[in-house]
Amino acid sequence: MSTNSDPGLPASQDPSPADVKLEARNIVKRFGNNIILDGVSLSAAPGSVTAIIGASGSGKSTFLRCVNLLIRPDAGELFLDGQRVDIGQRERDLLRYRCEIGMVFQSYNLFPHMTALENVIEAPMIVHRVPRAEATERAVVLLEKVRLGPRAAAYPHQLSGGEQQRVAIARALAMHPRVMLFDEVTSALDPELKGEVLATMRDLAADGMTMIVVSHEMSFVRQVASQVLFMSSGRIIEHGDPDAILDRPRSPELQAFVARIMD
Amino acid sequence: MDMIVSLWPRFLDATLLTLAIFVVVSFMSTTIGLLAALATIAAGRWLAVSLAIYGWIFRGVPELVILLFCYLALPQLGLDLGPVGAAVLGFTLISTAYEVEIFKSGLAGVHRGQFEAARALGIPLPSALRRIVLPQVIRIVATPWITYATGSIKRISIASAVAVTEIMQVTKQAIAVSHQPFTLILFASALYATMASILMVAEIVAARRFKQRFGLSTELP
Repeated sequence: MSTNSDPGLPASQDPSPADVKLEARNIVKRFGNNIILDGVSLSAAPGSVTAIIGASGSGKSTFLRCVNLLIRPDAGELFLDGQRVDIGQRERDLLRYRCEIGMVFQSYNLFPHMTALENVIEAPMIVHRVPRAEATERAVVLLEKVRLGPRAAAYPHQLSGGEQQRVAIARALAMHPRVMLFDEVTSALDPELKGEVLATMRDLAADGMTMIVVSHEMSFVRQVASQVLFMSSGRIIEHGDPDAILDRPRSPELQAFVARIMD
Repeated sequence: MDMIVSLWPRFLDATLLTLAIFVVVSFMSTTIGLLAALATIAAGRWLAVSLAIYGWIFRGVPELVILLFCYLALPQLGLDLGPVGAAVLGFTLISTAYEVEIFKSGLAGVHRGQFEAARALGIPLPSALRRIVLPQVIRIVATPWITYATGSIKRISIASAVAVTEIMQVTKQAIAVSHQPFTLILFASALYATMASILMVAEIVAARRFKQRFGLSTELP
């Protein structure tokens, strides 16, 4: 287990060191005969922002879903705050782990029959049995934080895409996650709406949230990311700080990818 | 008009019986249909296949045939439910086949991301179904459900063939003694139309409610 085929990743010891918030080791996922993830590893320090980039179909979203076990990996290990996560446990037991990992989706996935506020208080009330008044109090604070205080009573269809996505961020934060995952959260947004969502994510990073971000927003990645992983064909091909990855790509795959996204 | 007035108590009883059959049948078939549709999410292929065969039989065979089977054939097998019992059983069997399809398409209409978002938040499946999926299913199925229910209430007239004293049976009996088919059939039509209208108005009210809540575009990208 000590050998690590991914360049740039430090050889990991067991258990995961204390200065690592979340660690994934050699995650493998197959669908039928297709190998979607071929031994993907990641190590995220507390308060760090890890950006995962790569062409569509490279396995980025699948990997993110393996991190919070929405998809169960076929092999590999996960550690959260140095604690090994049992990836074989029953769905019911996985729910507790998922509460620790917030996730925001490309298509927002707000509950359409609930107001912004109701979306945010739903999971704390159902999962943590927080009384409605207390959940509402905290939700109001979170909605203020994503600059949607006045829109708390609006239904999703009355909100712009950018506003919906910020509600989704507040909804995930309401569970007090230790790590936040962002799956191409601005890809479905018009250019003028991306900015407000990215600003919210910047705030969150500045607050010290540990974040793993699948993104095509290269200027955001360059400014905010502490480390960048480049994925291709289910593997991490290169790994390093943003400037090294984006300005000095070594592998032909990354060179081709950078050339495509920079024009 | 005097005739209608004198027959009114019988028509009232018949109308109440029709409504009672409708309510019982709708309640049972909706409950079973919804549960069966929900079960197809979790259960394997055998349930899907059984439901397909069930639907094929009870949507394929004429209602009258199924009612006659329940009323005349089942007693031969030792299950004598009487006219009303046989009608309730027959209509429940038929309606369940349709309700399963209605709720299956309703569930299919809920965006996959809704399930994913619920799982990501750590919400257990039963809670997710009840609080997140079901309200959306209800919106999607409201129109087909009421459309089917409107048909259901009219279809209860077939029960006159198995000696249930619902509206049509009373009408036929009244025609036999009074020889006023025109007035009587018109009156029976009015009773059916009134009941169906109530359902149709309910649909309009529900549609307006849903539009307020969900807006025009409820489907997320």
